[in-house]
Amino acid sequence: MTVAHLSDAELVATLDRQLASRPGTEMEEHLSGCSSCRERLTELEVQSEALGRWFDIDEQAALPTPAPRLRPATSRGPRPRYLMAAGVVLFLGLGLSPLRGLVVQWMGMAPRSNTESPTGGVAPQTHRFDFDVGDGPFELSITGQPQGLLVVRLEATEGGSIGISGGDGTETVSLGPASAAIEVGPTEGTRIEVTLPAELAALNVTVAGDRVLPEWTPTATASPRTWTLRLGGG
Amino acid sequence: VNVDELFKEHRERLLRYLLRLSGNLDVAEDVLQDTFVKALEKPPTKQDNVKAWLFTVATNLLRDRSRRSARQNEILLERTPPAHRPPSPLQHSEAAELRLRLYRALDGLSERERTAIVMRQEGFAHREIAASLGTTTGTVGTLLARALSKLTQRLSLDGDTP
Repeated sequence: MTVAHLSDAELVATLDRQLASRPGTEMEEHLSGCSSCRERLTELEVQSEALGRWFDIDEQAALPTPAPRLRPATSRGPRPRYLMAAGVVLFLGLGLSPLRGLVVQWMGMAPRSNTESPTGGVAPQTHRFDFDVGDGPFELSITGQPQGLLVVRLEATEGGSIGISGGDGTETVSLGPASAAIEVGPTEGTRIEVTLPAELAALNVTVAGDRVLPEWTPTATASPRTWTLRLGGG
Repeated sequence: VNVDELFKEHRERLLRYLLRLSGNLDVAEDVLQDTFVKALEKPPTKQDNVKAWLFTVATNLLRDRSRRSARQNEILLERTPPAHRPPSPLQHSEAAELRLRLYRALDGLSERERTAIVMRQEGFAHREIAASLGTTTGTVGTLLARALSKLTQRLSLDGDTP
């Protein structure tokens, strides 16, 4: 035996069949003649296998489906145009960038491990409103405070595009298929401005949420250019 | 690179990886979201090792977040059940206790030791772990040996194993 003992780092590299600072042949030669290093290598091997069993237990536990959550956009990187034209439903506004909205949507689309509502048994609710609209922009106001996130989805019954802006008004997008959605966080007094093309005559507004109170009943009132959705039981 | 496909392929592994590093499901989910936003903004240019790129981005984002705010001491592996609902039997099972022990043991490692041992468990080569940590393969070996030694003490890896 002509070379120095193997360091723990070299032994781990040997265990994992990785390149180390010394040539493998040199380390093998040392190991073949050094019982102390062989014992340490065996010890590390036993520990590594035991740790693997701990990780296996963790592996068997089902991961919960990630909950889509909204946070202010932190970056303003370039936005691929294809995303805008793809016709996917984007979650917009309230500081949520289109890209983050897309990821939130993916996370929401991931398979759920169970069908239970996060609030413990409150079934998802969907309320649909059909409005006739004329030309020009109108304003959709949401009053009251939802218990969790709500999705307000706008669908045109005829062809055309819908532009939505929300929050500080910095996010506006037009989608090919006449459908767009916006998530509303637990903030009172959210205002969503909707711009419709002149040729569009009717619009469906769907409000859905799975974290709302069971008695939640939105009502809608319409003035010539303003609709109000009132959240809560009142 | 199709980020949509990337998400479908790696979401679960990456979430578990981030959960092991952070010990907190909320933090892991937030960083998972940030990772894929980053992937959409600036997709990886090289096709050959997209998985390593993704895990490195996630590791860096988690590190940045930890620097900005103090590490959350509470280990949170499940979503907090509502107060009115009794804990499920699973939450009191032996496996759940063992998982908690593992996460507490990981929590006792340094950030670099934890990253190295968790990336190793994900099957990354030492050179990939080194690239992610911005260090040499020799240092990775040292970090792994140290992590194994500390986990041995905390989990009795040379004796009482599950």
